[in-house]
Amino acid sequence: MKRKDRAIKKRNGRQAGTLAVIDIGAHSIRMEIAEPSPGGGMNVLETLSQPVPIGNDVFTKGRIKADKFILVAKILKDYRRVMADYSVSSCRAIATSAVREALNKDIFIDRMLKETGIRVEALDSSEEIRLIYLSMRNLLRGRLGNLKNSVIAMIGTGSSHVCLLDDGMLRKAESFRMGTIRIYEELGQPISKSSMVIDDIVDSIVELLLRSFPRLPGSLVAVGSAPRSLLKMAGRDGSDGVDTISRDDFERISRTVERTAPDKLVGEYGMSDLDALGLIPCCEILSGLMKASGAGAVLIPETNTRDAIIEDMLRRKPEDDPFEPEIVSCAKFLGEKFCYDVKHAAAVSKYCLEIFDAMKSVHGLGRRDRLLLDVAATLHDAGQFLNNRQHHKHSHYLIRNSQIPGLSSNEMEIVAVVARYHRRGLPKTSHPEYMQLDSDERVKVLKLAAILRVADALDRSHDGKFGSLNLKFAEGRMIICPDATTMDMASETMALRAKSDLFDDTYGIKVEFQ
Amino acid sequence: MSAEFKFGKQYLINRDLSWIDFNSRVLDEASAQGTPLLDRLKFIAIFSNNLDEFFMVRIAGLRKQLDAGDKGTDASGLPVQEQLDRAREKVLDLTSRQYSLLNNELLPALRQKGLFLLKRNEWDSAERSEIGRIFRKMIYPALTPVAVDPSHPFPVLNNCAIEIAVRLRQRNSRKTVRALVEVPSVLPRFIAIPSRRFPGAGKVHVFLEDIIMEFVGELFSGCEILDTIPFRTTKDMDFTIDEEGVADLLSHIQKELVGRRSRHALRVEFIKGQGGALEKWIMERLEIGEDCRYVVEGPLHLANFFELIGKEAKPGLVEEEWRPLPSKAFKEGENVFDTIRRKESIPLFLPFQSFDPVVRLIEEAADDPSVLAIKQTLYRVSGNSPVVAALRRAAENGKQVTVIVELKARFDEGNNIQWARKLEQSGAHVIYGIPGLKIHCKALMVIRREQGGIRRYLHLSTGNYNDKTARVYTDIGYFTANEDIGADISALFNVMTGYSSPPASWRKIAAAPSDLKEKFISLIDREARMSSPHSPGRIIAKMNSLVEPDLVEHIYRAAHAGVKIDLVVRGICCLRPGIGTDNIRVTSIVDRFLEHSRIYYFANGGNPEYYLASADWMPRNLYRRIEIMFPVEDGETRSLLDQILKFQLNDRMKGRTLMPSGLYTESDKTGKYDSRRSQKLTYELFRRESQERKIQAQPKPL
Repeated sequence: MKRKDRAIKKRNGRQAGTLAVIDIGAHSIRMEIAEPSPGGGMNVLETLSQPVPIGNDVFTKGRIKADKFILVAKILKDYRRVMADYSVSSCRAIATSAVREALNKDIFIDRMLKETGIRVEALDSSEEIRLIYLSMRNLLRGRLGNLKNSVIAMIGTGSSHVCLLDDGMLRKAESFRMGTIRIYEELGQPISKSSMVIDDIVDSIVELLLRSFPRLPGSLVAVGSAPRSLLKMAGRDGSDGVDTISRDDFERISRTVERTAPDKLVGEYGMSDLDALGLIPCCEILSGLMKASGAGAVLIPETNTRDAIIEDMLRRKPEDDPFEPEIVSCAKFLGEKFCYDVKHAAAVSKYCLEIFDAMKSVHGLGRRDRLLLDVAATLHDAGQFLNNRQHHKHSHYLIRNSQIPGLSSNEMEIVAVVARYHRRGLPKTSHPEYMQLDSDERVKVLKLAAILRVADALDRSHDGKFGSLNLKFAEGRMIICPDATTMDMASETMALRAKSDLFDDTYGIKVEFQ
Repeated sequence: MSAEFKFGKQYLINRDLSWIDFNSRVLDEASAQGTPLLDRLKFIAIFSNNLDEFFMVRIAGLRKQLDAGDKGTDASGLPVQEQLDRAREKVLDLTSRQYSLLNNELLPALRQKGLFLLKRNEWDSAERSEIGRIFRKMIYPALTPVAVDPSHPFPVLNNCAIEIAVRLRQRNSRKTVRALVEVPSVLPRFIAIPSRRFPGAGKVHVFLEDIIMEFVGELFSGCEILDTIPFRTTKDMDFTIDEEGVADLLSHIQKELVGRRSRHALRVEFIKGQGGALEKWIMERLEIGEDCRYVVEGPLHLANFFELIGKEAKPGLVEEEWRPLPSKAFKEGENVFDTIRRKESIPLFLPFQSFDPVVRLIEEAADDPSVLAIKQTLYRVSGNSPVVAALRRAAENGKQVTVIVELKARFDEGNNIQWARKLEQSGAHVIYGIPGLKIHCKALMVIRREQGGIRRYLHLSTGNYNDKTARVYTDIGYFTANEDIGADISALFNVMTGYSSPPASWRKIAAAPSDLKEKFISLIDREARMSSPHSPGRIIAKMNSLVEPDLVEHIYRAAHAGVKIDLVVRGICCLRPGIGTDNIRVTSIVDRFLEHSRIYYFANGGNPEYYLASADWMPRNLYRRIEIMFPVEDGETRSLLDQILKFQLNDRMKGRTLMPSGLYTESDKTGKYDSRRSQKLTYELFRRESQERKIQAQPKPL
């Protein structure tokens, strides 16, 4: 009983007391300690920050050097002391671009765990985007009105992401292995000589965005500590949590940045050395995006990843992901990119979810798996973009090599494998894409793919003819009683017979029409 | 701002000469007729103690500058050699005044009161034989005579110790030999001898070195003593550590302490009329010039008079004790955290009020199950400090105790290392300072988990967590549970422990070295901007020392803009007032308590701001130390600060005013202005307050 209580406490953030979040970035390590405040939300108790140039190692040599192992371990041990001061009950330590890309990532994570007891989790860029986006949306809630269509630039020191917001929904996110400090490290050149190269890099980014989104939305949001420094230069205190810099002001500030040595900026505007150094690339990126989008101002919210993680930790049920609609939206955008059949995808996805929900007690899967099924259903035919022959295999390849913000690479892998089995052969031990999953994941794939095959069969004619499936269960059978019985269901009946094989295998339930 | 104002050296006074003037004010207190005799004697001792430190640090520094061939001048335009010359001149003048006061006024007056201090030539035969007995029993075993000859080099002398040089001859030889005997500092300097010579006294006191000189022959059997003279050396005790290259600050300082003995001598003191061959020999052996030779009336080492005062203090000879009063805010039986939370902030005025609430805060924190952690800066803590004891108990009770120890506290390093080790043994996390910065801010933070979440309780102070100095230094402590200050102080602790870089900005406090100086300048400049002929600006700044030339300049600019400025500066004041404006007044208060609090007041156009700080306006405070300044926002404390500042500005008894010539007016020695003595008025203020409380607290009769 006691153990169970504790488990609940841990999951249920509100009772968990103080929380800590450690963020191992490319150039600094930061920690925030917070507690849920009685009036809701959270109360930040401590903010610590130490510069550590891990990025320098990784971006130039590919791996984290031994001295940084020692340094990071020392800082994490120090942080543990501060955590003890507040008797922190749960801690999440994440690492972003530098550790994520380091060849010796796994050994680094293992060493940190052994030496400090802190489990560092290397965050996928899609997860990073999700966190930043959520904290930004929280902050901008109510003010998103004229931001329904916007470009969101998330500018970090080691990596950056650009997201496009279309009609209030996230449509696309592109990650770049380019950051405000990284750019110097990779170039290995003095700042003065770097500006041409920075120009070129920014141009190529903008071009890439324009290719998939010919008309960029007309407003611009910039997130990150370098953009926040721009607010300082504009003389805004950001006390409101968000502030806007007009295009004219932005251009004026850019010129100041170009002309002023970074160390001067530090003294004059009270910013960190890293932010000051990163301002030139930051301004270049923003000015490129501003030109391409025609935005008249840039909106800068005072958010950071740590706040978003704390909000995540405080959320009552971790599976209640407020980001879910964005994931679905991005999946659809990806479908569009591969010229998918919108109607068919929507129908299959709808049938999938109806079956999934009706079978809850049988498959025992959770909300997150429902989302994966939804995405797999949306994208199952994406492979037809390459060739109709073997298109299930092409779907697999395309999905696993795409990025959907909010889905980890592991989840993308599952989605890809589920989509791969939407037709033809069933999973076999000789299939490497299937076998590389662990056994729990394989079971999950079987359960989800079984539903997807049935749902796909039910829209054999690609016309989404059924409003509701009206599922009934009786003696090992699932009976589909569509609301419109008069219509022609011959092709669906035939397809169902062929594609309910996995369903029968997996659940021991036969599928039939009424 | 007047257009012609151009800041320059004429606005400044040399800092070391200004310091000597401060010490002169200390000496001045020894001549105050209205003050009881032993209190006056105490100022003689303080004067000497101060002067010793001055030689060890400041004169040492100037000498080093000179040796390094420094041809420059200080901010006031004096070359190094001239600073040294003028300092010597002033010191000679002051010490002769000091000895004249001691020998011609205080000691004879004390005899009148029955306190006899006999010189060697005044002993009678009965006394001499008693002294001889004491010599053989108590003193002889502690002596280590050192012969100096070609095979025994001149020894390393202990800093500030009295040495006796002896010239002697073996009875069967014609050769003279020289030897040194150090007067042991472990023995009392004043030895009481029973005597019936002076009716009513019952005893007399004699000097330890006199006894040793009298019986020194017993140390050298078979020798004839030709000559003995006492002398004393003061050495260079200043050291700067190249901390960048020091891996372990603790062991480095331990080594440094050992190394100090062999430092260069800067001053040698002899007694007038005893000179001769031995004196010349000592000068040669110490390899120092005439300008380091100081001849005094005698006796040597007057700082030792503290010992006699301690032994003989009794009503009539010392001013009645001003017993530290209990703070009315803290009630018996009420949890100290509840008290602070209820009131949000509580000031504590030391030494008028008792230091107990600070100890109580740590003690209650040690036993409170809701307390998670205690963090504190410690610097110059007394040996058996109740603060350290309470912290140890907290650590033993499983609290997270973090103590930041400043090992670089001058002359106190040895002491600091001892209790730092003890704390570590109890499980506290002890951090030894930050390379390159001395931690001078005084902060205590208790982290407590309460119903509504984590709450931080703070005690910030202008002075150290030292229960001993808390009885002599006027400091202001400030208990608060203010969230913003709490957030700032925890961030500051993270900087001091090396866990984090400083935050980009503070919420409420200002801190050195990051932004304290800028904060002072912006506050002064704002006052200047807001000042108009109809409503002139107002600044009152109370501190120990004012040296930083940039702040002098801004103060002058503000004065020229019409701001009325009062500076209450106890010690060094490098600002020369009265040049082109009468808006700056400098007051210095030297009284029984050492003025130590730092209070900064800015009228801010009718919306006044009050600050307390650990920092003076000195470069070392602003650039090389971690210091804090915090706002006082509660009305009760503000009105107390108002009253205390008012008392100080009106103190015509112990307050002196700095004049444009660089000289100070004299204090009132007759006691005519006793009713305006600020420290007494302050004490009375708190006494009335505590009595009110007593009356209120009396239970109603049934």
